[in-house]
Amino acid sequence: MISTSMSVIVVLVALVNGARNEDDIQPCAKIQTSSSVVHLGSPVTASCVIREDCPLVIGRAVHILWRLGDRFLPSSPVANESGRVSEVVIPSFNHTREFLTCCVRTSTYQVLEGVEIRAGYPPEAPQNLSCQTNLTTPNTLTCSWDPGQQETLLDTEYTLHTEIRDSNENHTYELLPGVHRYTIPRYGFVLFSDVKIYVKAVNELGEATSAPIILEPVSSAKFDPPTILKIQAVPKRYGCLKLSWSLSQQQVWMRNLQLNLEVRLTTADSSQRREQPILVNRVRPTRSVDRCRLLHGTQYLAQIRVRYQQSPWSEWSSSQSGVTLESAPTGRLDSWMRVSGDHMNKQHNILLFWKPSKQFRANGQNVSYIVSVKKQPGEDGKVCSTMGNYCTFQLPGGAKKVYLSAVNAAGKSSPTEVRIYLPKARAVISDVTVIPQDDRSLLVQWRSLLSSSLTGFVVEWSPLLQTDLFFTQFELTARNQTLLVITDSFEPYKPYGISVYPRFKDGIGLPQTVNAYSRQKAPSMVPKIQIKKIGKSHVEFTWDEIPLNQRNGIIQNYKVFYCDTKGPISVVNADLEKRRVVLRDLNTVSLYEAFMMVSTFGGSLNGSTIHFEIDSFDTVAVVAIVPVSVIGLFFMVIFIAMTSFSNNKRLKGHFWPAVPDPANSSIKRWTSESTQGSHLSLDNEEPNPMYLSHLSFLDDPVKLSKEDDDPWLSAEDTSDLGESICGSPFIPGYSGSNSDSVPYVTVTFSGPCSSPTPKDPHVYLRSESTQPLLETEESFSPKCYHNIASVGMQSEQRFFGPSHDSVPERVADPGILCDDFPFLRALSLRHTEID
Amino acid sequence: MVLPTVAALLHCFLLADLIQSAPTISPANWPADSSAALRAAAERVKTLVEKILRDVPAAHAATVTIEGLTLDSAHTTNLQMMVTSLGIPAAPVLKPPSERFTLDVCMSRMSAGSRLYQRLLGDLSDRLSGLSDLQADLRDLQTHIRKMEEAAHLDVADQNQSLDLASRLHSNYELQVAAHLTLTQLRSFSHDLIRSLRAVATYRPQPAGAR
Repeated sequence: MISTSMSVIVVLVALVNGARNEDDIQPCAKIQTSSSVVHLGSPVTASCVIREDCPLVIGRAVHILWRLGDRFLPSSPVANESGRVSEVVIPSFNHTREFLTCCVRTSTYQVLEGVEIRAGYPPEAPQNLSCQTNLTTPNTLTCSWDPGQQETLLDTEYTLHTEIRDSNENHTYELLPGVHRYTIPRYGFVLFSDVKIYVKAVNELGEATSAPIILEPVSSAKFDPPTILKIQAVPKRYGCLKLSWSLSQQQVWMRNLQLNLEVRLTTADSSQRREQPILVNRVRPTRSVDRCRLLHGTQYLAQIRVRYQQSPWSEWSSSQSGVTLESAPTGRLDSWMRVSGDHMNKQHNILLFWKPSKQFRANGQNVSYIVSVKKQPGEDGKVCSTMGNYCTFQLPGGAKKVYLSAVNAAGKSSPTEVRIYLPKARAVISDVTVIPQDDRSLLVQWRSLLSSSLTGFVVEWSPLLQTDLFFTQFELTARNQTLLVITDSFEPYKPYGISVYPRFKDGIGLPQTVNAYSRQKAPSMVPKIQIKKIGKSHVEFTWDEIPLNQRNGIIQNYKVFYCDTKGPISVVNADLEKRRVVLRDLNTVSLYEAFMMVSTFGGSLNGSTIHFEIDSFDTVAVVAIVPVSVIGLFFMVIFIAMTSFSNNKRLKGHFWPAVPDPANSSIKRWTSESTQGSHLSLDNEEPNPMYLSHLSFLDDPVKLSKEDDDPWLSAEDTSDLGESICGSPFIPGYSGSNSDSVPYVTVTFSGPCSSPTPKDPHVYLRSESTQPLLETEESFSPKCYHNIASVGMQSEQRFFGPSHDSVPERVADPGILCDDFPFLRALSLRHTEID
Repeated sequence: MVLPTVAALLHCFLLADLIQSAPTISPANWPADSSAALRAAAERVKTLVEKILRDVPAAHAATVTIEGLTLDSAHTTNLQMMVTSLGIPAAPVLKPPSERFTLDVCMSRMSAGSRLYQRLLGDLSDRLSGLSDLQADLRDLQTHIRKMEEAAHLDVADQNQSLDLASRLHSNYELQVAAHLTLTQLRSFSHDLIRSLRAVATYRPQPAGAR
């Protein structure tokens, strides 16, 4: 099947080629359309006429197909045309461009002819045409416009047209596609002649022209910022400044034109800004401009800008300053004073503040103020002279008013009388509240009791972090005005103290003062929690106050958050004034953690976490019990001491033998009972290595065979003897104490100590050697043991003393010895058992 | 009859233009529109002449590179033969207005001079770059001198001399010398224009009965 189709196609192609060769290459069909460029969405009609001699249709029934792009369109054959003509109607052509093809059906289909149909919109008239001249080199005129909201979807050409009426010149500038501005060169416009300018847009569906504009190029020029050459006071004319200016160097050729000039003057100290520019029409740079009605003796900063007729204003020039002529200050000063001192003795210390009233004019730059008790000017009576806004002085006796004058280089103002109002202990003001209005103003409100003598109020404010009185400001109000918006350069997050004083006919009442912030934020720090007290189930925290410069607002609350390892978080609000908080109902033996949050109206800040634990007993109870216990113990000690004095022997028996002191002891006096009680424990606490640093027990040579089995001679089993035994030479590797030679005593006996009648006498040998218990004792071993038989001689001094000879002294009564030395006694018992 | 009227008009308008504080005095029989147009045109002529004077040095620097040929040099007297051979005509002579050198003559000389230099610069700018702005300035000047004439109801004939300067500029040297001579003469003519406008402003024609 495929091979058949292919052969048919090959034949058809051959036939078509043959037809082309014969007929000078004419297409087999011809398509006619209503339009090849249409409005988007509009209908398109097309017809296809197939030539009679087209090989594809000769002798065959023809079925014509239409394709738009890659899809077939429904069509209808035209009657009476033997099927070689077809028409198609596309009701809405919604492509920007597409190919319409005419085909005939074969086994598939054959394309005979095709046309491209494009769709779009006619151009809209360009909008917002505007032009601006550039008068710097090179001089140009640049125009720009908007092409219209709707995309045409077709190639649209824009042309800029100019018509210069005076010179009868017309120019047309072709514009680059997509660029909606054009710069006309200098030859394209006459500087002082009107030129009509418009933009024309053309595409295949139509054309549109913008609304024309007519302009004089110089009137459309934005001039360079002009230059102020000089600004100076006008001689003999107060409040006037003369201003000389010029155009920029490139535009100075227009100096003869009548230009419009705007002058902007501001006072240099910015306290009395005059923002509104003053327009000066029809001026030439060749002539200076005078501005009057300015403040006297005031430094002004001037800026100018320029334009020609209705052209755009130039940028403002750079500032130049000038000072008007100075004259004496005028107007009164507002004042407010605080009086302190001994009123009974009429010793008044005055702190006087002042400020310019609305009518006051300094009329000079360096203004100082003089306070005098005399109205007439002069050094006599002057109490104060300053450049500031306040002064302190002591009021001369009897004076009830002072006079305040402003002075500058040109003169002195008429004095303002200031009456001295003494403080009165009358409080009529309450509920002072301050509400921030914006960063520069605060609304102060207060309540006042009605009083017939009340004449008004004074609101005084100052930054609390600035101690200089220079920053203190005040405002006077009438008696019926209980709110005031105070405006100042309030710094955010900084505290201000605001006081409201009542003014009476005869004095100043007591003020109400509050702290206020223009803006608040979270504090900069959180105070460190200090544990003041830990109770059985509670804990008390305290902390220091946050420094004023770190509060950043009015402290709203202190909140302590705490929890133990398991429990939920609890919150306690603290006392703002006392700065303490008690956490109650805490579990004992639980580890708690806590932190504090400090809040202002502007935010909160959390502090660091601390950990604490509640003890099982009460510290208070301990504090109460301990002294009682100590006192009780003290009395008990006294009681015991008295008892022991009364029974000295018994006391010694119980307490003193704690460390056996062979020098002061008698073996016979030791009893097994006494050693089993207190002796061992006391021995552990306070060993006496000097006197009994080494103790070894030796039997006669005949008994040595049994020593290995004797637990008392084993190093492991003699730990109770402490270092004395631990340092026994029976322990391998023992190096002894710090000393190379260790004093020790050797007790030599031939039989069990408990035997009633020992055959051989026991011998005590004092030794000091690194090799004890070897064959021979050193010569300095004790020769005798002086107190062996001294029963009842405890009060006498007893000690190991050097013997007069090397012969060991025999013990008189071995039975007594065994009783006084419990270990020896134990040894003897052991020997007895073995035996 | 026309001349005294024109003189009075120019006097009034130019004087008022140059001296800002002076009140504008218009002849009662002269339409207000015409007087305003004349005044505006005169103001603009002056401004354009100022612009030309500012632009000439830049144009000279851009076109003339022959060493020693500067705007302020004394070479011009040595170039008289070149002036003749290149066929550069002399600028129209401008004088202070007087009874012999009447204002309409003055205006026609101004107009002729601006046309002359516009054409000369046109020939030169075909082969030299840097003169087109100046050429445009001269076109503007000519336009506004014509507007002055129209405002004053003067009918100055447009005498188009045939220059054909381009055909005589065979070498670059000749081209630059021609540019130098043209710009030098243009500057001189511009100064004369300024003087003439000032003289007109202060000129007080004698009343007709005084003759």
